[in-house]
Amino acid sequence: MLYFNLISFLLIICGTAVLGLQIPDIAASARVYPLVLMVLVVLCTLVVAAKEIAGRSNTAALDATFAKILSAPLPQQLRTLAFIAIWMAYSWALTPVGFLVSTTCAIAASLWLLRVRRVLVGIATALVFSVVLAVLFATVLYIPTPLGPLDRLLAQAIYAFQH
Amino acid sequence: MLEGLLTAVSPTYLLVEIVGVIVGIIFGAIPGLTATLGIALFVPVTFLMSPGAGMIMLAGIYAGAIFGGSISAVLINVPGTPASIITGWEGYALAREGKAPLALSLAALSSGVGGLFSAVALLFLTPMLSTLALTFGPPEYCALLLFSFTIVTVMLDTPLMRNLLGCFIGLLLTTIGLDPVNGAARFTFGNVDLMSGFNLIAVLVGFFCMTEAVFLAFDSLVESSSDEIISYGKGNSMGELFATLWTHAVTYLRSSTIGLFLGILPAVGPVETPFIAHTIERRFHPKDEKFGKGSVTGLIASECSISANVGGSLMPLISLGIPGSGAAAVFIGALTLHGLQPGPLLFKNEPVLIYTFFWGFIAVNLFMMFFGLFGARYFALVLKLPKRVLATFIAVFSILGSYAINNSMFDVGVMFGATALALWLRALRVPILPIVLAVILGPLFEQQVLVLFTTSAGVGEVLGRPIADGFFAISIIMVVFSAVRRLKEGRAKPA
Repeated sequence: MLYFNLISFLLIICGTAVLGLQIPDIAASARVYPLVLMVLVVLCTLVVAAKEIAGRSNTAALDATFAKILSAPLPQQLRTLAFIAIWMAYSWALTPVGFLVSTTCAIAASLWLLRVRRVLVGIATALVFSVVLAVLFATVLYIPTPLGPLDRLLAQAIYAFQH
Repeated sequence: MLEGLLTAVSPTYLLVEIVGVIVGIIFGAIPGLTATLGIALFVPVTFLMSPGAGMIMLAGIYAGAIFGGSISAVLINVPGTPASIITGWEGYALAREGKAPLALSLAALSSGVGGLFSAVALLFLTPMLSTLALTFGPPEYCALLLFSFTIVTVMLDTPLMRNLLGCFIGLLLTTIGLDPVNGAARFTFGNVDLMSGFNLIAVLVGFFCMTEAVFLAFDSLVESSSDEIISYGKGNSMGELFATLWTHAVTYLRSSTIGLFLGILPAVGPVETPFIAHTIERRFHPKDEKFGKGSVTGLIASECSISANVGGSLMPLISLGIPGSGAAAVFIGALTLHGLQPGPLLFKNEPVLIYTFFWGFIAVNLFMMFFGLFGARYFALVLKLPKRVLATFIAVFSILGSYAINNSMFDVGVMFGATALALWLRALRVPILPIVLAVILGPLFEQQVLVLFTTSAGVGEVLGRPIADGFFAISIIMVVFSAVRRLKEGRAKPA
């Protein structure tokens, strides 16, 4: 944990330094406040890091939830990472693939990954939910969703039904 | 005031109040879901409503979730929300004695009484606070905001430097975008999307919703057995229940007052409040051996104070624009969505909206008490929902909610970035509350600091403002006391 923390603190300082490199490009009157904050962030990080190294940090070694995650078997850790990856992939796929297909696939994949045993029920749930949500967005909430081939078909069907 | 009352009891608003309370109770009853998560998830939904209806629905979710946590706490000894830990001690012990209906009904009644107490206080005290806030200038605002940051950093149990680090990181994040006074672009790296900074709602959804989805997903993979739910049994006599209003009147009043007062302070939310109220109440009942093990007085103290805390946390939010808790902080997202800035000017410019909200909050607490008294056993059914399903749908709604703000995938990216930041900082034991407060109050703080430095004649002028002096003095005293306390704790620990 010490190494993770120290690397993290180093990353915080590097990130602040990257922002600091932008300071000359900012108008003089607008750079003072962020500059002061950057100095405070770096100082606090250095103090916290120094306390960690000196062993004077007076809290438990690790957050309880993360301790549970790190002590869990590898397959469960990988599934948790895969859960995050599914939803990131969903965000990436929304625009090219469309709302219906990407939402159905993401929900079904997530339920399967989290060990919902009845796969067909999971897929059916995902499909029904996606269609209901797409109709809700189109007819009640008026929020445009990314359109794929199936979304266009659904939009035509809704238009035909309303007229 | 009358127009607000008439609006709050119109059919549309009554429906919104009922829906908000029911959603809130469901969120609160399910372990792993919190009031803050429920509010953050439904903020984008309020976009379709009028500001008043949206605010009332969120208040219903807040109040309902705070009570809902007691359902799982009593029936399976797992607090639905962190605020219900003490309720679990007292209520579960009562349930094991075959008094589950009494425990749940008492929780509902106490929550209702505490909530109504704070709702009435909100109605009458907020206008006074708001009138006072209209006299505030940049020195007062700077002092008040510094006081808010101070109270959050010193009152949390985590190390002071980590709290400060979180606060400064949050403030630094708010500098990305256009400078609020000069309009100069800062840290945008030429990206047009960054010109307006990070969308507050996307950040809050990332902090509170997506992170919980990840933890719920992990929990669903790890936990193999479901919790045993205590059988509900026969109902309780309402007469007996309401008799406690007389026999424990002082407990109700004392706990409600404590909860209200603590709610006004930015760092003391519904989680810490019941511990304080319970401890204080125990001192007044030294002979009650059941305290902590099935005491009716302890249960009343806990639930009453938590619900009073809800209204208390909304008071500084409405009058000063400073949230009294993390959940109240998310309200600012809802107001921002409707183009409203919380603070004394909101009270001046939108009095009907504010009074509609106050009366709606009273109605919400009445509905919460009603549903709690007559429907708690039915809400207990949600305890059977698998965590894997909850995790999946919270993730979906987090992404779609972030997308729906501006129909922009950039906001979804911001949401994921906020999730990553929250998880990373949590692993580093940097608490989230200072960061949330800093992200919300940062732009206002920078604006007030810049105006102060530009317009004030010098330190003398700032020190000549009694309200500002008062806030500065309290902040300094709190820092000194906290430093001394932490030093003593550090020395008391064995080497």
